[in-house]
Amino acid sequence: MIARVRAARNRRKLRAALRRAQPAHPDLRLAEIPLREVVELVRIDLPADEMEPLLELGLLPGCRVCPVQRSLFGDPVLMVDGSLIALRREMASCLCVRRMEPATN
Amino acid sequence: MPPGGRPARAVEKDSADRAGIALVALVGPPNAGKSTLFNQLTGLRQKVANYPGVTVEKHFGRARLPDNTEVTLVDLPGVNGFSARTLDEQVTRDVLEGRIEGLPVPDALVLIVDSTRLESQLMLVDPVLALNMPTLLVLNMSDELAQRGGSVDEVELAAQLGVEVVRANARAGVGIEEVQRFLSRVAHGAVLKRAERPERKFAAPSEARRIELPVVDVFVTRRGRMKVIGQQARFRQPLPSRMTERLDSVLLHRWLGPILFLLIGALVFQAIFAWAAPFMDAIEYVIAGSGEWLRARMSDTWFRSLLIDGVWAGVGSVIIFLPQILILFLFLGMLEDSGYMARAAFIADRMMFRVGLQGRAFLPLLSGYACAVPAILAARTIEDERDRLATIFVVPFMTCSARLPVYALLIAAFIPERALLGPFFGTRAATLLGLYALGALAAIGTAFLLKGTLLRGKGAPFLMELPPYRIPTLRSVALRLYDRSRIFLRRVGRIIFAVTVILWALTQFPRIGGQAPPVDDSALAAIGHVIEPAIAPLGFDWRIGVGLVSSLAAREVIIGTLGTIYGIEGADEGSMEMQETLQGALTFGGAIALLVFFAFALQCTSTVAVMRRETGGWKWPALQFSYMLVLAWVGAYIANAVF
Ligand SMILES: Nc1nc2c(ncn2[C@@H]2O[C@H](COP(=O)(O)OP(=O)(O)OP(=O)(O)O)[C@@H](O)[C@H]2O)c(=O)[nH]1
Ligand SMILES: [Mg+2]
Repeated sequence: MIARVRAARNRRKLRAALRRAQPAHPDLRLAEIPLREVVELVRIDLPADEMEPLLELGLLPGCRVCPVQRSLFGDPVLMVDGSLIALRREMASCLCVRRMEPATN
Repeated sequence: MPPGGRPARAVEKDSADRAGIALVALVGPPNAGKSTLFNQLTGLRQKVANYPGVTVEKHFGRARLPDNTEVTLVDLPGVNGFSARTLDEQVTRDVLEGRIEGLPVPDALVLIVDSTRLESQLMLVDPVLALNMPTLLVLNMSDELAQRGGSVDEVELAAQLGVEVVRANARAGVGIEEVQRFLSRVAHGAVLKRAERPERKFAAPSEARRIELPVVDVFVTRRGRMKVIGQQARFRQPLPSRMTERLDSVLLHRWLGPILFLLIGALVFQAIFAWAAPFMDAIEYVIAGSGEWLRARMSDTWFRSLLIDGVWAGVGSVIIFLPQILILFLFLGMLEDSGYMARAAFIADRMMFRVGLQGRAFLPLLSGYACAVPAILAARTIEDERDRLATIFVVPFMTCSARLPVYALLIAAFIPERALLGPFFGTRAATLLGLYALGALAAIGTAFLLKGTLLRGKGAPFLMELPPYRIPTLRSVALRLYDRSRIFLRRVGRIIFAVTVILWALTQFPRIGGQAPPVDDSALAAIGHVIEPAIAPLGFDWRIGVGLVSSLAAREVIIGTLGTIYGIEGADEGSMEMQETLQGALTFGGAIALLVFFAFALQCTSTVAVMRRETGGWKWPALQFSYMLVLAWVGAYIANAVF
């Protein structure tokens, strides 16, 4: 009996976790955002140790990011809170972003 | 900097010297102006440049305060947090936590932030305040904040954070008195520990609560709190720098960027030849003229031979290259001060990525154009240990300024000048560029090899903050050139002088009938003949061999050596024309072989020493030295055979 309740609870937890992991529409990545569009960073798909340097530079969920330049190879330069941060395309495609409401854009 | 500024030299660390003197550490994010403030307060000249990660070691200095008290200041590498992922960040953490033997925990901290980006820079406030030391917060770059329409209420900020706050422009010396007043109080032991002071309005969450949270949440909460504090302190974010936006739209343009990157490089090489020529001619004229003038007025003794044929010819032949070295440093200085250097690293990152390094490595490699020793230290900012090792292994391939005179001399002697791209780019500049490229290619190839074998690894991602462009000040550029001249002249005055005297002495024995022997029969030639079999296949005679051995002391010594040998040989004709003598001594193939040899060989004891320190053993420097020597020999052999 207890085992069945526990199993059901586990299933519910798992489903909730899956829902959280897969949002309704596919994620928009920073790498796809055109130059000069301001977007909001929602998630960083990187392991914690690789994420920390980004966080320390102020590139963290909730902040506003704007790609201001892109190199020939697609590596972006971002404007974040008045700082310019250069990174690689690969890392930019690990940054999930959300378009801002037109009014605040 | 006060007018009596001195080149930076670390104050001795012995405790007796510092007994009773308070120690104050300068901390802050990279490129916030810590070293600038340090220089202002101590009168020293620690390296300052406009890109993050300039300071990579702790540097001590004494600040004498207006009330005649003193404190010891320590300038630290910039950090964005205390995670200490890189070696330079570890230095900062170790000093702050008192982990360095013989060095007490600092009595107080001066936390310097760039006020134009106050909110994100304040992220460092939490971990710094958690150290619970008396702290002064300096809002630096207040000139840029005001100029770009930003503002902040520092009184309110002080109240919010519970620390003293001053607004400053470290470059112009604004706000220095306030900092000095704080230091005076530290010196008098009158500054309270934070814990003893009234509670601040926004308490940082306790350590215990923070540790439970995943790393993202720690930062997001901290950031949120700093945003609120920023609002309370009425921080108005300045507009982005217009100059930076305009320059970047060209210099970071997807096509123009890489093209301009190459053009800037070409311009530097052309300038080294074209601009320096008149100055070099003038110096040569003075040295040759004064030598002849002296010769005519001295009787023919051994002393005249030592002075004119030995020292004058040896030292003089190297001093001629001062203008070229200064032009190189003029350009490097302007690139570093303007903020282009960080952009160059970004543009180069893709290429570096291909060979297994990262764009960060570009900065140490580029500073290797000045000298390999600081460049090897600069690689401390590279996070991945394998990347760092691969980088410092290849740094000595970058053409350091000590190779420049050797290149310049051989090129001038063997490459006829013809215009290639109009008046802007000639064959000589092209050859020089080719040699620099050869070194860079060797570096890249070696890095590729290493990353595929001994130092295989996935490599860290590239992440780099680009500073705003700043116009280099005349003062800072002039001071760089002044310091550079001093270093160069000291090298010439010490090493090259000493070597030429020894060489001259070796040419004077064994005495034949009380006279110096012909150079070919001298002790020096005997030594040279021992080396000759090893280098004869490269097209070098014993004189060049002696030059190569003596260049182990410092690369440009070979010129002084040849200057001395040829000076003594040619003393009868009274000629000091190095170039003509060289043309007789080397074939074209031999000259190219010598250039290649210099491009590859690691003839620098200081580099070997610093490699040992930075890798903690002899393994890497020994491997590096042998590898480069083999490459140099084989390269020179091929060059001599082909040309
Ligand atoms: N406009 C302006 N520029 C400044 C000011 N203070 C420093 N700078 C410039 O900012 C740049 C960085 O200064 P540094 O003193 O090297 O900075 P740092 O904090 O020591 O940097 P790291 O050693 O890399 O951590 C240099 O180009 C300075 O000339 C200031 O108050 N106003
Ligand atoms: Mg510094």
